[in-house]
Amino acid sequence: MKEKESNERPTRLHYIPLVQAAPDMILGMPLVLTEHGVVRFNLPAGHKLNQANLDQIQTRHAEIICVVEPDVRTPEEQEAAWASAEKELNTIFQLADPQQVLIHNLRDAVMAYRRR
Amino acid sequence: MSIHLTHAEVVDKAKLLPAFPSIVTQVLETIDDDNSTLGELVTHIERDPVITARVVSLANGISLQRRHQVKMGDVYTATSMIGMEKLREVVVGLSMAEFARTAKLATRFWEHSVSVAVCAQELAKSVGLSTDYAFVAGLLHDMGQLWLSRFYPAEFAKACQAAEMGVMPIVEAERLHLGLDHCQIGYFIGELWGLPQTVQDAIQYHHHPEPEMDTLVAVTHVAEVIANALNLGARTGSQVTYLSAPACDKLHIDFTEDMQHLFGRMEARADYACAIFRK
Repeated sequence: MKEKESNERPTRLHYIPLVQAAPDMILGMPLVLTEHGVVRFNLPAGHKLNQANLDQIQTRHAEIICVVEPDVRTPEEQEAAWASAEKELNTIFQLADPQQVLIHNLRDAVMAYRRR
Repeated sequence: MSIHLTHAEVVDKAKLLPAFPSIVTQVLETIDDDNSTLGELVTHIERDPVITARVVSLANGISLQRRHQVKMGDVYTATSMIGMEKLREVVVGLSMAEFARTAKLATRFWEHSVSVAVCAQELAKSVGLSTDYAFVAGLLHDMGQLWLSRFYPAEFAKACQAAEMGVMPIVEAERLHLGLDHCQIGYFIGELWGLPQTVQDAIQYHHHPEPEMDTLVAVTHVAEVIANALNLGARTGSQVTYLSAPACDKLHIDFTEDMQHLFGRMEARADYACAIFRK
Protein backbone atom coordinates (compact mmCIF):
# COMPACT_ATOMS: atom_id res chain seq x y z
CA MET A 1 0.00 0.00 0.00
CA LYS A 2 2.37 2.70 -1.21
CA GLU A 3 1.23 6.27 -1.77
CA LYS A 4 2.89 9.62 -2.39
CA GLU A 5 2.38 12.68 -0.21
CA SER A 6 2.42 16.12 -1.81
CA ASN A 7 6.15 16.48 -0.97
CA GLU A 8 6.81 13.14 -2.72
CA ARG A 9 7.94 11.46 0.50
CA PRO A 10 6.91 7.79 0.14
CA THR A 11 4.10 6.68 2.42
CA ARG A 12 2.09 3.48 2.97
CA LEU A 13 -1.50 2.81 3.95
CA HIS A 14 -1.78 0.61 7.01
CA TYR A 15 -4.84 -0.82 8.76
CA ILE A 16 -4.35 -0.89 12.54
CA PRO A 17 -6.51 -1.85 15.54
CA LEU A 18 -8.04 1.21 17.17
CA VAL A 19 -6.15 0.46 20.39
CA GLN A 20 -2.92 1.21 18.49
CA ALA A 21 -4.18 4.54 17.14
CA ALA A 22 -2.65 7.73 18.54
CA PRO A 23 -3.11 11.49 18.16
CA ASP A 24 -1.39 13.02 15.10
CA MET A 25 -1.85 9.88 12.97
CA ILE A 26 -3.28 10.68 9.52
CA LEU A 27 -6.33 8.83 8.21
CA GLY A 28 -5.55 6.98 4.98
CA MET A 29 -9.19 6.29 4.15
CA PRO A 30 -12.42 8.10 5.06
CA LEU A 31 -13.77 6.83 8.38
CA VAL A 32 -17.53 6.38 8.23
CA LEU A 33 -19.25 4.81 11.24
CA THR A 34 -22.89 3.85 10.97
CA GLU A 35 -25.46 2.71 13.48
CA HIS A 36 -28.58 0.89 12.24
CA GLY A 37 -27.73 2.10 8.73
CA VAL A 38 -27.45 5.76 9.75
CA VAL A 39 -24.10 7.56 9.47
CA ARG A 40 -23.17 8.68 12.99
CA PHE A 41 -19.56 9.69 12.49
CA ASN A 42 -17.54 10.72 9.47
CA LEU A 43 -13.93 11.86 9.01
CA PRO A 44 -12.23 12.39 5.63
CA ALA A 45 -9.00 10.78 4.37
CA GLY A 46 -6.03 13.00 5.25
CA HIS A 47 -7.55 14.08 8.57
CA LYS A 48 -5.04 14.34 11.43
CA LEU A 49 -6.48 12.51 14.43
CA ASN A 50 -6.64 14.16 17.84
CA GLN A 51 -7.55 12.74 21.23
CA ALA A 52 -11.13 13.99 20.97
CA ASN A 53 -11.53 12.14 17.63
CA LEU A 54 -10.14 8.95 19.16
CA ASP A 55 -12.54 9.22 22.11
CA GLN A 56 -15.46 9.72 19.70
CA ILE A 57 -14.39 6.79 17.55
CA GLN A 58 -13.99 4.43 20.49
CA THR A 59 -17.43 5.22 21.87
CA ARG A 60 -18.79 4.10 18.48
CA HIS A 61 -16.93 0.78 18.75
CA ALA A 62 -14.75 0.96 15.64
CA GLU A 63 -12.25 -1.90 15.64
CA ILE A 64 -9.72 -0.86 13.01
CA ILE A 65 -8.78 2.30 11.13
CA CYS A 66 -6.63 2.96 8.06
CA VAL A 67 -3.72 5.38 8.57
CA VAL A 68 -0.97 6.77 6.33
CA GLU A 69 2.54 6.05 7.53
CA PRO A 70 5.92 7.12 6.14
CA ASP A 71 7.69 4.30 4.32
CA VAL A 72 11.16 4.45 5.85
CA ARG A 73 12.52 1.41 3.99
CA THR A 74 15.45 1.78 1.63
CA PRO A 75 14.99 0.46 -1.96
CA GLU A 76 17.15 -2.53 -0.99
CA GLU A 77 14.95 -3.29 2.02
CA GLN A 78 11.85 -3.03 -0.17
CA GLU A 79 13.32 -5.45 -2.72
CA ALA A 80 14.23 -7.88 0.07
CA ALA A 81 10.71 -7.68 1.52
CA TRP A 82 9.12 -8.31 -1.89
CA ALA A 83 11.47 -11.24 -2.60
CA SER A 84 10.56 -12.73 0.77
CA ALA A 85 6.84 -12.31 0.02
CA GLU A 86 7.29 -13.94 -3.41
CA LYS A 87 9.07 -16.91 -1.83
CA GLU A 88 6.32 -17.28 0.78
CA LEU A 89 3.64 -17.22 -1.94
CA ASN A 90 5.49 -19.87 -3.95
CA THR A 91 5.26 -22.19 -0.93
CA ILE A 92 1.62 -21.36 -0.18
CA PHE A 93 0.52 -21.91 -3.81
CA GLN A 94 2.76 -24.91 -4.57
CA LEU A 95 -0.19 -27.33 -4.86
CA ALA A 96 -2.52 -24.97 -6.70
CA ASP A 97 -3.08 -25.16 -10.46
CA PRO A 98 -1.34 -22.05 -11.86
CA GLN A 99 -3.36 -22.43 -15.07
CA GLN A 100 -6.59 -21.76 -13.17
CA VAL A 101 -7.39 -18.10 -13.84
CA LEU A 102 -8.88 -17.52 -10.38
CA ILE A 103 -5.79 -18.90 -8.65
CA HIS A 104 -3.57 -16.77 -10.85
CA ASN A 105 -5.62 -13.66 -10.07
CA LEU A 106 -5.67 -14.34 -6.34
CA ARG A 107 -1.90 -14.84 -6.24
CA ASP A 108 -1.37 -11.60 -8.17
CA ALA A 109 -3.74 -9.74 -5.84
CA VAL A 110 -1.85 -10.94 -2.75
CA MET A 111 1.52 -10.02 -4.32
CA ALA A 112 0.19 -6.57 -5.27
CA TYR A 113 -0.97 -6.14 -1.67
CA ARG A 114 2.45 -7.16 -0.33
CA ARG A 115 4.26 -4.78 -2.69
CA ARG A 116 2.35 -1.74 -1.46
CA MET B 1 -1.46 -49.37 8.12
CA SER B 2 -4.27 -47.01 7.13
CA ILE B 3 -7.26 -46.35 9.40
CA HIS B 4 -10.82 -46.59 8.03
CA LEU B 5 -12.94 -44.25 10.13
CA THR B 6 -16.72 -44.56 10.22
CA HIS B 7 -19.57 -42.23 11.17
CA ALA B 8 -20.26 -44.34 14.30
CA GLU B 9 -16.68 -44.09 15.53
CA VAL B 10 -16.55 -40.33 14.92
CA VAL B 11 -19.77 -39.77 16.88
CA ASP B 12 -18.79 -42.12 19.73
CA LYS B 13 -15.41 -40.51 20.20
CA ALA B 14 -16.80 -36.97 19.82
CA LYS B 15 -18.70 -37.61 23.05
CA LEU B 16 -15.30 -37.84 24.77
CA LEU B 17 -14.42 -34.29 23.72
CA PRO B 18 -15.02 -31.50 26.28
CA ALA B 19 -18.68 -30.45 26.39
CA PHE B 20 -19.52 -28.06 23.56
CA PRO B 21 -20.18 -24.66 25.19
CA SER B 22 -23.96 -24.40 25.49
CA ILE B 23 -23.67 -20.61 25.44
CA VAL B 24 -22.61 -20.78 21.78
CA THR B 25 -25.84 -22.58 20.84
CA GLN B 26 -27.85 -20.09 22.93
CA VAL B 27 -26.13 -17.12 21.30
CA LEU B 28 -26.75 -18.62 17.85
CA GLU B 29 -30.46 -18.88 18.70
CA THR B 30 -30.58 -15.14 19.40
CA ILE B 31 -29.23 -14.25 15.93
CA ASP B 32 -32.48 -14.83 14.08
CA ASP B 33 -34.76 -13.85 16.95
CA ASP B 34 -35.94 -10.27 16.41
CA ASN B 35 -37.39 -10.25 19.91
CA SER B 36 -34.11 -11.14 21.63
CA THR B 37 -32.77 -8.40 23.88
CA LEU B 38 -29.46 -7.44 25.35
CA GLY B 39 -30.83 -8.55 28.71
CA GLU B 40 -31.35 -12.11 27.43
CA LEU B 41 -27.86 -12.22 26.00
CA VAL B 42 -26.36 -10.95 29.25
CA THR B 43 -28.40 -13.55 31.16
CA HIS B 44 -26.86 -16.30 29.01
CA ILE B 45 -23.39 -14.87 29.58
CA GLU B 46 -23.85 -14.61 33.34
CA ARG B 47 -24.67 -18.32 33.57
CA ASP B 48 -21.07 -19.03 32.58
CA PRO B 49 -18.70 -17.63 35.21
CA VAL B 50 -15.58 -18.18 33.09
CA ILE B 51 -17.02 -16.28 30.12
CA THR B 52 -18.42 -13.56 32.40
CA ALA B 53 -14.98 -13.03 33.90
CA ARG B 54 -13.34 -12.93 30.48
CA VAL B 55 -15.87 -10.47 29.00
CA VAL B 56 -15.40 -8.09 31.95
CA SER B 57 -11.62 -8.55 31.81
CA LEU B 58 -11.58 -7.86 28.08
CA ALA B 59 -13.65 -4.69 28.53
CA ASN B 60 -11.33 -3.48 31.31
CA GLY B 61 -8.33 -4.17 29.07
CA ILE B 62 -9.85 -2.10 26.27
CA SER B 63 -10.71 0.63 28.77
CA LEU B 64 -7.11 0.79 29.99
CA GLN B 65 -5.70 0.82 26.46
CA ARG B 66 -8.04 3.67 25.60
CA ARG B 67 -6.95 5.67 28.64
CA HIS B 68 -10.36 5.48 30.36
CA GLN B 69 -10.32 5.44 34.14
CA VAL B 70 -13.57 3.54 34.64
CA LYS B 71 -13.24 0.08 36.21
CA MET B 72 -16.02 -2.24 35.05
CA GLY B 73 -17.29 -5.00 37.29
CA ASP B 74 -20.41 -6.30 35.56
CA VAL B 75 -21.42 -7.58 32.16
CA TYR B 76 -23.89 -4.74 31.45
CA THR B 77 -21.22 -2.06 31.88
CA ALA B 78 -18.68 -4.16 30.02
CA THR B 79 -21.13 -4.44 27.12
CA SER B 80 -21.23 -0.66 26.80
CA MET B 81 -17.47 -0.71 26.23
CA ILE B 82 -17.44 -3.66 23.84
CA GLY B 83 -20.62 -2.72 21.95
CA MET B 84 -23.75 -4.83 21.43
CA GLU B 85 -22.81 -5.74 17.87
CA LYS B 86 -19.44 -7.07 18.99
CA LEU B 87 -20.74 -8.83 22.10
CA ARG B 88 -22.00 -11.96 20.31
CA GLU B 89 -18.73 -12.28 18.43
CA VAL B 90 -16.69 -11.82 21.60
CA VAL B 91 -18.78 -14.31 23.59
CA VAL B 92 -18.67 -16.97 20.86
CA GLY B 93 -14.95 -16.38 20.33
CA LEU B 94 -14.09 -16.51 24.02
CA SER B 95 -16.27 -19.61 24.55
CA MET B 96 -14.63 -21.42 21.67
CA ALA B 97 -11.17 -20.30 22.87
CA GLU B 98 -11.92 -21.88 26.26
CA PHE B 99 -13.17 -24.99 24.47
CA ALA B 100 -10.00 -25.14 22.35
CA ARG B 101 -7.86 -24.80 25.47
CA THR B 102 -9.76 -27.56 27.31
CA ALA B 103 -9.57 -29.78 24.23
CA LYS B 104 -5.81 -29.02 23.99
CA LEU B 105 -6.17 -27.82 20.42
CA ALA B 106 -2.83 -26.68 19.00
CA THR B 107 -2.47 -22.90 18.79
CA ARG B 108 -1.87 -22.91 15.06
CA PHE B 109 -5.19 -24.67 14.35
CA TRP B 110 -7.07 -22.32 16.63
CA GLU B 111 -5.48 -19.15 15.22
CA HIS B 112 -6.22 -20.35 11.69
CA SER B 113 -9.89 -20.76 12.69
CA VAL B 114 -10.00 -17.27 14.22
CA SER B 115 -8.45 -15.82 11.06
CA VAL B 116 -10.96 -17.58 8.79
CA ALA B 117 -13.78 -16.35 11.08
CA VAL B 118 -12.63 -12.73 10.68
CA CYS B 119 -12.18 -13.07 6.90
CA ALA B 120 -15.64 -14.67 6.66
CA GLN B 121 -17.15 -11.72 8.52
CA GLU B 122 -15.55 -9.23 6.15
CA LEU B 123 -16.84 -11.18 3.13
CA ALA B 124 -20.30 -11.59 4.69
CA LYS B 125 -20.57 -7.82 5.14
CA SER B 126 -20.08 -7.39 1.41
CA VAL B 127 -22.98 -9.72 0.51
CA GLY B 128 -25.39 -8.75 3.28
CA LEU B 129 -25.16 -12.09 5.11
CA SER B 130 -25.29 -12.37 8.90
CA THR B 131 -21.76 -11.73 10.13
CA ASP B 132 -22.54 -13.75 13.27
CA TYR B 133 -23.14 -16.95 11.28
CA ALA B 134 -20.05 -16.23 9.18
CA PHE B 135 -17.93 -15.82 12.30
CA VAL B 136 -19.23 -19.05 13.85
CA ALA B 137 -18.81 -21.04 10.61
CA GLY B 138 -15.25 -19.72 10.32
CA LEU B 139 -14.44 -20.67 13.89
CA LEU B 140 -15.89 -24.18 13.54
CA HIS B 141 -15.01 -25.07 9.93
CA ASP B 142 -11.99 -27.19 10.91
CA MET B 143 -13.59 -28.85 13.94
CA GLY B 144 -12.89 -32.19 12.25
CA GLN B 145 -9.17 -31.51 12.63
CA LEU B 146 -9.63 -31.05 16.37
CA TRP B 147 -11.18 -34.53 16.47
CA LEU B 148 -8.37 -36.03 14.35
CA SER B 149 -5.58 -34.41 16.38
CA ARG B 150 -7.18 -35.66 19.59
CA PHE B 151 -7.93 -39.27 18.65
CA TYR B 152 -5.46 -40.10 15.84
CA PRO B 153 -2.54 -37.71 16.41
CA ALA B 154 0.11 -39.83 14.64
CA GLU B 155 -1.92 -40.45 11.47
CA PHE B 156 -3.13 -36.84 11.43
CA ALA B 157 0.47 -35.61 11.78
CA LYS B 158 1.42 -37.72 8.75
CA ALA B 159 -1.43 -36.19 6.74
CA CYS B 160 -0.41 -32.64 7.78
CA GLN B 161 3.21 -33.35 6.89
CA ALA B 162 2.21 -34.59 3.42
CA ALA B 163 0.20 -31.40 2.85
CA GLU B 164 2.89 -29.06 4.20
CA MET B 165 5.55 -30.73 2.02
CA GLY B 166 3.37 -30.22 -1.02
CA VAL B 167 2.79 -33.95 -1.67
CA MET B 168 -1.02 -33.66 -1.75
CA PRO B 169 -3.85 -31.46 -0.45
CA ILE B 170 -4.77 -31.99 3.22
CA VAL B 171 -8.20 -33.52 2.53
CA GLU B 172 -6.67 -36.14 0.21
CA ALA B 173 -3.93 -36.91 2.74
CA GLU B 174 -6.52 -37.33 5.52
CA ARG B 175 -8.62 -39.68 3.39
CA LEU B 176 -5.49 -41.68 2.51
CA HIS B 177 -4.32 -42.09 6.12
CA LEU B 178 -7.66 -42.13 7.95
CA GLY B 179 -10.42 -42.99 5.48
CA LEU B 180 -12.38 -39.76 6.14
CA ASP B 181 -11.36 -36.10 5.82
CA HIS B 182 -11.87 -33.35 8.40
CA CYS B 183 -14.82 -31.88 6.45
CA GLN B 184 -16.85 -35.08 6.78
CA ILE B 185 -15.80 -35.56 10.41
CA GLY B 186 -16.64 -31.94 11.23
CA TYR B 187 -20.07 -32.38 9.66
CA PHE B 188 -20.78 -35.43 11.84
CA ILE B 189 -19.73 -33.47 14.95
CA GLY B 190 -21.83 -30.44 13.95
CA GLU B 191 -24.83 -32.73 13.55
CA LEU B 192 -24.18 -34.25 16.99
CA TRP B 193 -23.88 -30.78 18.58
CA GLY B 194 -27.07 -29.57 16.93
CA LEU B 195 -25.45 -26.69 15.05
CA PRO B 196 -27.68 -24.84 12.54
CA GLN B 197 -27.90 -26.69 9.18
CA THR B 198 -26.30 -23.76 7.36
CA VAL B 199 -23.23 -23.98 9.64
CA GLN B 200 -23.10 -27.78 9.20
CA ASP B 201 -23.10 -27.31 5.41
CA ALA B 202 -20.32 -24.73 5.64
CA ILE B 203 -18.21 -27.20 7.64
CA GLN B 204 -18.89 -30.08 5.22
CA TYR B 205 -18.34 -28.26 1.93
CA HIS B 206 -15.78 -25.57 2.79
CA HIS B 207 -13.03 -27.26 0.73
CA HIS B 208 -15.18 -28.14 -2.29
CA PRO B 209 -18.42 -26.16 -2.49
CA GLU B 210 -21.10 -27.67 -4.72
CA PRO B 211 -22.60 -25.51 -7.52
CA GLU B 212 -25.93 -25.05 -5.68
CA MET B 213 -24.21 -24.01 -2.46
CA ASP B 214 -25.63 -21.92 0.37
CA THR B 215 -24.06 -18.44 0.59
CA LEU B 216 -22.45 -19.32 3.94
CA VAL B 217 -20.62 -22.23 2.26
CA ALA B 218 -19.23 -19.83 -0.36
CA VAL B 219 -18.24 -17.31 2.31
CA THR B 220 -16.44 -19.94 4.41
CA HIS B 221 -14.65 -21.45 1.40
CA VAL B 222 -13.40 -18.13 -0.02
CA ALA B 223 -12.55 -16.82 3.47
CA GLU B 224 -10.34 -19.83 4.16
CA VAL B 225 -8.60 -19.53 0.79
CA ILE B 226 -7.87 -15.82 1.42
CA ALA B 227 -6.73 -16.49 5.02
CA ASN B 228 -4.30 -19.09 3.67
CA ALA B 229 -3.14 -16.89 0.78
CA LEU B 230 -2.39 -14.08 3.27
CA ASN B 231 -0.82 -16.62 5.65
CA LEU B 232 -2.90 -15.30 8.56
CA GLY B 233 -2.94 -16.71 12.09
CA ALA B 234 -0.02 -18.78 13.31
CA ARG B 235 1.65 -18.25 9.90
CA THR B 236 2.90 -21.77 9.35
CA GLY B 237 1.92 -24.42 6.82
CA SER B 238 -0.70 -22.34 4.94
CA GLN B 239 -1.63 -23.86 1.57
CA VAL B 240 -3.89 -22.71 -1.25
CA THR B 241 -4.87 -25.70 -3.38
CA TYR B 242 -8.22 -24.81 -4.96
CA LEU B 243 -10.53 -21.83 -5.37
CA SER B 244 -14.12 -22.46 -6.43
CA ALA B 245 -15.34 -20.32 -9.36
CA PRO B 246 -19.04 -20.77 -8.43
CA ALA B 247 -18.24 -19.63 -4.86
CA CYS B 248 -16.51 -16.47 -6.15
CA ASP B 249 -19.43 -15.86 -8.53
CA LYS B 250 -21.89 -16.25 -5.68
CA LEU B 251 -20.06 -13.55 -3.70
CA HIS B 252 -19.35 -11.38 -6.77
CA ILE B 253 -15.70 -11.27 -5.78
CA ASP B 254 -13.19 -10.43 -8.51
CA PHE B 255 -9.50 -10.65 -7.58
CA THR B 256 -8.47 -8.48 -10.53
CA GLU B 257 -10.00 -5.55 -8.66
CA ASP B 258 -8.02 -3.65 -6.01
CA MET B 259 -7.97 -5.90 -2.94
CA GLN B 260 -5.68 -3.80 -0.74
CA HIS B 261 -8.43 -2.50 1.53
CA LEU B 262 -10.22 -5.85 1.94
CA PHE B 263 -6.92 -7.66 2.58
CA GLY B 264 -5.74 -4.85 4.88
CA ARG B 265 -8.88 -5.05 7.02
CA MET B 266 -8.70 -8.85 7.14
CA GLU B 267 -5.04 -8.90 8.16
CA ALA B 268 -5.40 -6.21 10.85
CA ARG B 269 -8.55 -7.76 12.32
CA ALA B 270 -7.12 -11.31 12.26
CA ASP B 271 -3.94 -10.21 14.06
CA TYR B 272 -5.97 -8.34 16.66
CA ALA B 273 -8.50 -11.15 17.17
CA CYS B 274 -5.76 -13.79 17.54
CA ALA B 275 -4.08 -11.58 20.17
CA ILE B 276 -7.35 -11.16 22.10
CA PHE B 277 -8.23 -14.86 22.13
CA ARG B 278 -4.60 -15.87 22.85
CA LYS B 279 -4.72 -14.16 26.29
